[in-house]
Amino acid sequence: MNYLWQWVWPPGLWANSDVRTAFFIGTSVAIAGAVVGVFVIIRGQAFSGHALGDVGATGAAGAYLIGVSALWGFLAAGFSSGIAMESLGDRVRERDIATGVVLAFMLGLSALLLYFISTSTGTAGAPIAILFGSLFTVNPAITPEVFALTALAIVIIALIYRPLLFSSVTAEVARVRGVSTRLLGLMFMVALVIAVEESALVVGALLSTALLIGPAASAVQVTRKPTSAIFLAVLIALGQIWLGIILAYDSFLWPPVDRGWPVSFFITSLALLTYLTMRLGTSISRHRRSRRPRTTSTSSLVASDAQGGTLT
Amino acid sequence: MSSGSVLGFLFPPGIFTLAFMQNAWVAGTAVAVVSGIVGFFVVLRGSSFVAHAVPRGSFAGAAGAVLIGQSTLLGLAVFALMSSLGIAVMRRGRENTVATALVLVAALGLGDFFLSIGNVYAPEVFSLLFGQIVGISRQQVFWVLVISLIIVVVVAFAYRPLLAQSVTPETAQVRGLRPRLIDAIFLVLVSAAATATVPVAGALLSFSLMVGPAAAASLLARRPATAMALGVGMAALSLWIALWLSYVTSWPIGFFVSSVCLLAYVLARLSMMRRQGHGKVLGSLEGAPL
Amino acid sequence: MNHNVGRERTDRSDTHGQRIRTIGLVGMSLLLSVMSAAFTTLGQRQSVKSSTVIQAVGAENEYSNVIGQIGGHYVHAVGIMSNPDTDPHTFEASPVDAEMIGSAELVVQNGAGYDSFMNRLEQASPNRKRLVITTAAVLGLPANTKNPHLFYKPGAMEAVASVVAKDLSRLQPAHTSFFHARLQAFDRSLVPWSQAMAKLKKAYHGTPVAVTEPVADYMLNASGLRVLTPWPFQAAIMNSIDPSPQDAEIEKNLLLDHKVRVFVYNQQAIDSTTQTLLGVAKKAHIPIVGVYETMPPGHNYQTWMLDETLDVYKALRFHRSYLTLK
Repeated sequence: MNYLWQWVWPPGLWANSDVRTAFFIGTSVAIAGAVVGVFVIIRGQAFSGHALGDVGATGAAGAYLIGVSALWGFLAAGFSSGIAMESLGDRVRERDIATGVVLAFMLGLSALLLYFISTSTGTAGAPIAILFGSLFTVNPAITPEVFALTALAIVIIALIYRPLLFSSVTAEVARVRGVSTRLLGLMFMVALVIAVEESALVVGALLSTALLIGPAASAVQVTRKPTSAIFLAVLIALGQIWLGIILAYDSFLWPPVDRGWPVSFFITSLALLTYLTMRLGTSISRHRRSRRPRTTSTSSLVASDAQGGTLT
Repeated sequence: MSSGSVLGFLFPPGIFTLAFMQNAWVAGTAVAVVSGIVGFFVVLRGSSFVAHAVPRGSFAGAAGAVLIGQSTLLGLAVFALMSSLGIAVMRRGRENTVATALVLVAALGLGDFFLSIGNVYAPEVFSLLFGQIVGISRQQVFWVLVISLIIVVVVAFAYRPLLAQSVTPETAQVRGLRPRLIDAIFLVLVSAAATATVPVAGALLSFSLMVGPAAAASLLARRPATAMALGVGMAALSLWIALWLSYVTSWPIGFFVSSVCLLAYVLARLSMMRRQGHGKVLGSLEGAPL
Repeated sequence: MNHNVGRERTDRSDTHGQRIRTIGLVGMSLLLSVMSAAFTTLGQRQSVKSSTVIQAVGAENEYSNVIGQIGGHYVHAVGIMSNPDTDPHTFEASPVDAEMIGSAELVVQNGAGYDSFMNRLEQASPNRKRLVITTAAVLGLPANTKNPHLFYKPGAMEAVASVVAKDLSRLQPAHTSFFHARLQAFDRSLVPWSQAMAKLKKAYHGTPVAVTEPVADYMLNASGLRVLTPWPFQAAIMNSIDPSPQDAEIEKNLLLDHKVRVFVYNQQAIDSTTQTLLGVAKKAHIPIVGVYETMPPGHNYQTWMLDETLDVYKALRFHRSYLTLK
C-alpha cells in the first residue's frame, strides 16, 4: 500500500518547481484544448487544429528574425494561416486541401526563415525549433499570458456557444435560418488559433494536437450531449496531463537509462489508449443495447453526427 | 547584359553536370511523379491530413532506427506503413481526421521516446525534417527509383477500383469492391511515397508536392485520367522550377517547392472562379466529402 | 449551393482590388530578393574557381580556420557551418555548400555524429582524389563517442593540424617545407592556451562548475574543474529534448544552493530550459561564462580557446560574468 502511494505521489514531486509549473500550465492548456477540441471534432476540423500548431514554429522563426517575442510570432502565424485556410476553404471539401496547401507553404517558409537565421550575423544565439516541446521546460514567467489566453478562448466559445453548436451540427439549416455560418466559422477560428498557439508555444506542436484532439474525441464517443461532452473532455484532458506528469516523474527510476522517459510520450500514449478504450467500450455497450428495445432521448442535441460523417 | 551572361544566369555552370545535381534531378523527378500519382487519389479522397501525417510520423521511425543501429530508410518505411495501417484500422466511415491525428501524435511521442533513451547526438534524424536534396547518393537514387516503380505498377493495376472507391464509395461497394482492402491499398501507396520522398524532400515538405499540384489539377481537368496526368506534370514542373531556383539562389528548396505549389493552386482557383462566372460548373471530380 | 457562392462573390468584390494589390506587392518584393540572392550566389560560384590554389572545406569554421593557418596562400579554405547562430539540428546544406564539398581536394570534419550531413554530401559528389580528415578518427575515438565537441579537447587540433599538413604536402609536394613550418608555428601558438589551462588548474583545481551542454566539457575537465551537471541533463539539452524534472531540479539547485562557482552557458543553443537557468544563475549571483560551438567572428582557433579559458579563470577570480566573448 505504501509502495503504491509512493508511485502515485513520489517523494519530491510537489517540491519540484518544474513539476509545479507543468501542473499549472498543463491544466490551463488542457482546459482550453478540451473545450475548443469538442467543437473541432463536431466540425471535423482536426486537420486545421493540427496544422495551426505546426505553423507556430514559422511564426517563432519570423519573430526571432525581427526581434519580437515568440508569443506574437505564434499568434501572427496562427491568425494569418487560419484566415487563409478559412477563405480558401469555405466549402467543406475544399477545406482539407486548403489546410494542406497553407500548411505546406508555412512549413516551406519556416525552412527559408531558418536559413535566414543561419546566415544572418550576430552572436545572440538561435532558438531551437520546437519539435517535440515539453511540459517540463516551460518558462514559469509565461504563466499569466497562458492563463489569460485560456480565459479568452473560453469566453469566445461561451459567447457564440448556441449559434456555433447550431451551425456546426446542421450547417444548412442554420444558413437557411439566417445564421451567418461564415462569421461563426471565423470567430471559432479565432478561438481555435488562441487555444492551439498558446499550447504550441508552451508545450510544443505535438502535445498541442494531442490535447486538442485526444480528450475531445474520446468524450464524444461516450456522450451525445455537447455540454457533457465538454465537461467530460476537460476531465479526460486533466487526467491525461496529471497522470502523464506523474508517470514521467516516476520513470526517472525506470530502465534503460536513468534519465526518465519524456512526458510527451506518456501523454500521447494516454490519448491514444483512452480513445481506443472509449471506442471499444461504446461499441460493446451499443452492441448489447441493440438487443434490447431502444430508449434514447431524442431531445438532446446530437453530436454523434460528427461520428457518422453526415455532418460533412 | 550580353546573351552569354543571360544564359549563364539562367543556367549557372554545373547545374546539370555536377554529380549531386544530377542525382537531385533524377531523384526529384521520380519523387514528383510519384507524388503526382498518389496525390491525385489524396485530393480525390480529401485525405491531405493523411498525406501530411504519414511522412511526418515516419520521422519517428528514423529515430528508432538510429537507436537500434539500423538504416533510417528502413525505419521510415516501417513507421510509414505502421501509421497508415493504424489509420486504416481506426478510421470510421470516411471520417479519418481524428484517427490520423491520434496516430500522428502517438508516432511522434514514440519518436520523442526513442531520441530520449538514445542519449546520443542525433542530428541526422533531425536532418530528415527538411531533407537534403543536394545530399543524395547514387545508392539513394536507386532506391527512390525502385520504390517509385513499385508505386506506378501498383497504381496501374489498381487504378479502376481505387478510382471507383474514391469517387463513389457507395456504388463501388455495391459492385462488390471491398472498401477496406482498397483503403488499405491507398494507404500503403501513401506510405511508399512517403518512404521515397522523405529523404529527398524532408518529412515536413514531402506532402506539399503531393497536395498542391494534384489539387490544382483536379480543379482544371474534368476527366480523372487528365487530372492525374496534369497533376504529375505540374508536380514535376514545380520541382524543376524549385530545384533551379534553389541552385540559383542557394535558398532552401523546400521554400520554393511549397511556394510554387501554393501558387499553382491559387491560380487554378482563380481560373475556376472565372469559369464559374460564365456559368460553368466545375467538378465532375467532386468526390464524396472528406 | 449556387446562390450561396454568388453571395460570397459579391462580399469579396469590394476587397478584391485591395487584396490583389497586397499580393502584387508581396510578390514583387519576393521576386526582388530572389534576384539579389541569385546574383550573390553567382558571385560566390565565380570566386571559388582557381586552379593553383588547393580548394579545402572545413565542416565547421574552426576547422577551415586551421586549414587556412597551415596552408597559407596555397589554400582556399571555407567553412560550411560558420555562423554562431546556426543550429545544427535545423541545418540544411545549400547547393553552394554541396558544390564546394564536391570540388574540394581536402575536407576536414568533426565526426562522432556531430556533422554526419558531411558524409551524405560527400557520397552525393563522389571524388576519389578528395582527402577527408575526420577528427574523431584521427583521435582514434569510436563513432558513438558521447561528447562530440572534440575541438575543445586539448591536443586534438594539433593532431588534426599535423594530418592537414601531411595531406596538403601530398597535394602540393613543392610546398612541403612551407606547410611544416606553418604547422610548427601553429603548435607554438597553442602554448598560451595550454598555459591558461594550467593556470586555471593550479588556482582552482577541483572547483565545481555547472554547464548547460557538454560543449566545453573537455576543456573544463582538462583544467581540473569538476562538472557537476548530470550527464543525462547535458545530453537532453544537446539533443533538444526535454530533460527529466529530477535532473532539471538537481541542475537548478546547483545554482540556487551555490554548489557551483561558475555556470558555463552554451550561447548557440538556447531554449526555455537554458533561459530559465540563466535567470536562476543571475539571481543567485553565480558568474556566467558563455561558450560557442562555432568560432565567433574576430577570432582564430587559438584566441577563441584561449579567451574562453581566460573568461572562466576571470569569472572565478573576479566573480564576474562573461556572457559573450570579446
